[in-house]
Amino acid sequence: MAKMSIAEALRQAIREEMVRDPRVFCVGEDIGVEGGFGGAFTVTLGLSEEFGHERILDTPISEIGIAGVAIGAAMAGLRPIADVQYGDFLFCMMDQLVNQAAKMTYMSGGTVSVPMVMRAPVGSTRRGAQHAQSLEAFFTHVPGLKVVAPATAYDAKGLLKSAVRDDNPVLVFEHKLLYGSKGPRSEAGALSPVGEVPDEEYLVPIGKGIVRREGSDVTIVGKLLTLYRALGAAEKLAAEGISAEVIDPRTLVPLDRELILESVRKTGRLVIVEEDNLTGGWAADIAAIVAEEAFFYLDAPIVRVSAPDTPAPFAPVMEAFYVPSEERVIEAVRSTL
Amino acid sequence: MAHPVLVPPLGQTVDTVTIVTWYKREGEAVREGEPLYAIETDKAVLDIEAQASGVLRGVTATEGDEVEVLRAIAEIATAAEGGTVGTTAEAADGAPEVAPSESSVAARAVTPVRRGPRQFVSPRARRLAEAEGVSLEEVAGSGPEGAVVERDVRAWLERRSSAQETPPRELAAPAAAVSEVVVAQMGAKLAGAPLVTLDVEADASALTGLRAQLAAAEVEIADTDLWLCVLGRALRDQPALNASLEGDVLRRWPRVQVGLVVDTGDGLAVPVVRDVDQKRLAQLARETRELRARAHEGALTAEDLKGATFTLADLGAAGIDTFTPFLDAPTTAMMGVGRIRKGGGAADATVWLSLSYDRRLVDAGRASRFLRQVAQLIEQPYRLLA
Repeated sequence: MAKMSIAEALRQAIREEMVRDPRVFCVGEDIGVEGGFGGAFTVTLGLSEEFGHERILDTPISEIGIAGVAIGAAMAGLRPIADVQYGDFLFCMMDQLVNQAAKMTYMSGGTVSVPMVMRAPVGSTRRGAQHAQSLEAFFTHVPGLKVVAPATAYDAKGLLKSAVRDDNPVLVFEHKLLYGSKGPRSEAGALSPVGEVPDEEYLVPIGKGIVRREGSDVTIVGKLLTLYRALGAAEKLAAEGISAEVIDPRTLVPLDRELILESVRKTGRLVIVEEDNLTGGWAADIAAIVAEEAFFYLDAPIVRVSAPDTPAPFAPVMEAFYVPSEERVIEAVRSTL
Repeated sequence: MAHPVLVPPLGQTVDTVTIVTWYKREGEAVREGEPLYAIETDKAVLDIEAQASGVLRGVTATEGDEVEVLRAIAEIATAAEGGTVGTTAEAADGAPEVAPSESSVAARAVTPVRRGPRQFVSPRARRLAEAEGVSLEEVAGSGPEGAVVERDVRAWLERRSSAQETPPRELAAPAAAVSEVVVAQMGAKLAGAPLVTLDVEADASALTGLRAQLAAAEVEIADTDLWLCVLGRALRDQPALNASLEGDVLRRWPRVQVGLVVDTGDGLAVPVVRDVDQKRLAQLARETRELRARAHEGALTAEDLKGATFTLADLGAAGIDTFTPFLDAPTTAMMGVGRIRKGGGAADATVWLSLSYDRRLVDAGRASRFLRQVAQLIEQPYRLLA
């Protein structure tokens, strides 16, 4: 079993899928240029040498163009893995993603499918308000899109491979602080979670969450970076005798609701941690589901820990305040006890 | 205003008591009806309940102190004094009797923060309380915003079960108070509940035979114990009638606890026989004998009278054939049993059963089915073994 970073695991997934299926190709900005980084975060590094520029397709700086190519190719029978350098640029593609890709199967009575993967880095990493957003909730809201958010190398590889094989458009959100990219593409404050990835073929099914830490007093749900904030908080709370269960949903659409509900039925308390702004966020939806389906098991009000309702700040000190910290998670847990 | 915490008078022979323990600390929030402290007399150890809600302060007696009855040993400051709000504007509006004093400020500093006077209960705690038959009025909250949460109900249950494990304490309570409780209760019931009574005459031959056989085997039981045994089974099978009214809330209970109407000589009392469906006849017989004896001595305690989920009046020993039971609320139904008459008709022995119920809470179908099952169990007592 090899130890690798999320960036390396994603690269291996892409490589294996491209070898397995000639219909798979990558499209994005600076993903295969000579002397480049392999995309913004090294995920496609070296793949153009192996597969050539026809399957590692560099585009002009036009997200609309990338989306058009990917969606059109998918409808025509190929299996594109598209990416944007920063998730924030998905907003350029909104018409294509929401009006076209998400609705095509429905509008065609199931005769047309859009087996496209769109990878997008998210998270606030000292790059200012337009390169920092956590966009998951914009897309979990759209019927017709699947949304995954891997937080470990194992899940990154297994989920990306499942996404490539899925006949629906799948958005893969990756966190910039979790890539573990080395050298000039490593973001300040990166966690670099390096994890074991099996040598043999495996898939992580879309729609299955996982309990990252078992506990009995409170359930903490976190994804991407906030999963690690939740795990850190749980570790510190354990020293106080507070037993926190930490859940990583891994897939946001379709959500593994039962995993969360089952945990809350056990613990009676729920804290949801996310990096997005509070209002209308993903955490609000988790809170609503639990309030509707496990109300009588709740022993305390549900608490959301999120970024405030402001754009992400540029100044490092303000950013540290903006992104949910372990301390805020601990404080939220205490408020439920 | 502050309510003084007075050492209660415990009968003519008790002048002083010893404080065993305080369940609340100075400055802690207290709810009316929850145990505040325990005292020991020469006869018994007793929990004393708080008579008001507020903040405990001015505690002058500590554990181990011997204090005279009717002496004030602390006070309970109500929300207006020691509670959470007390701005000048509100003082003008709400006109509290006492301006916030230094001591009330101190009390506020250690009082759990509450947003309002309402007692919150978490859904999980409410669910557990209903499943375990716990009255939430008796549980103090320790959760967010002072809410009653699961651990509070569990702690209460633990106290209850440890109380049940210790040998029954000899509880002192003046007979007068018992009779007041009963009168007040019965009066309240009669005023509110629209009653319906169903009657049926059951063949009691088999049961009389059974009792004779038990007597021959030296198991001494009264007719009442047989009725309790039958009711325990029927109430377990048909829990719709194992219910009581709390305020406007109808609660069905998992435990079957039958209030037994007892003639004390000075009036009626309704002590409660616990877990009737779980006990063997001989045990029921022991317990009813003991309750009757205590009722006659005027030694029933408030605890003995609490928690009935059904009521039984057996006037057989009084020589009454049949009568209309009137409901001892808060139970929703009551069974009246007359005397067993020999040789009425085809049967060797018969008995009249009358079921009174509050028709707002029980429908005639359920009531009839229940009464039918009771009669059937009496006529075919072997069914109790099935």
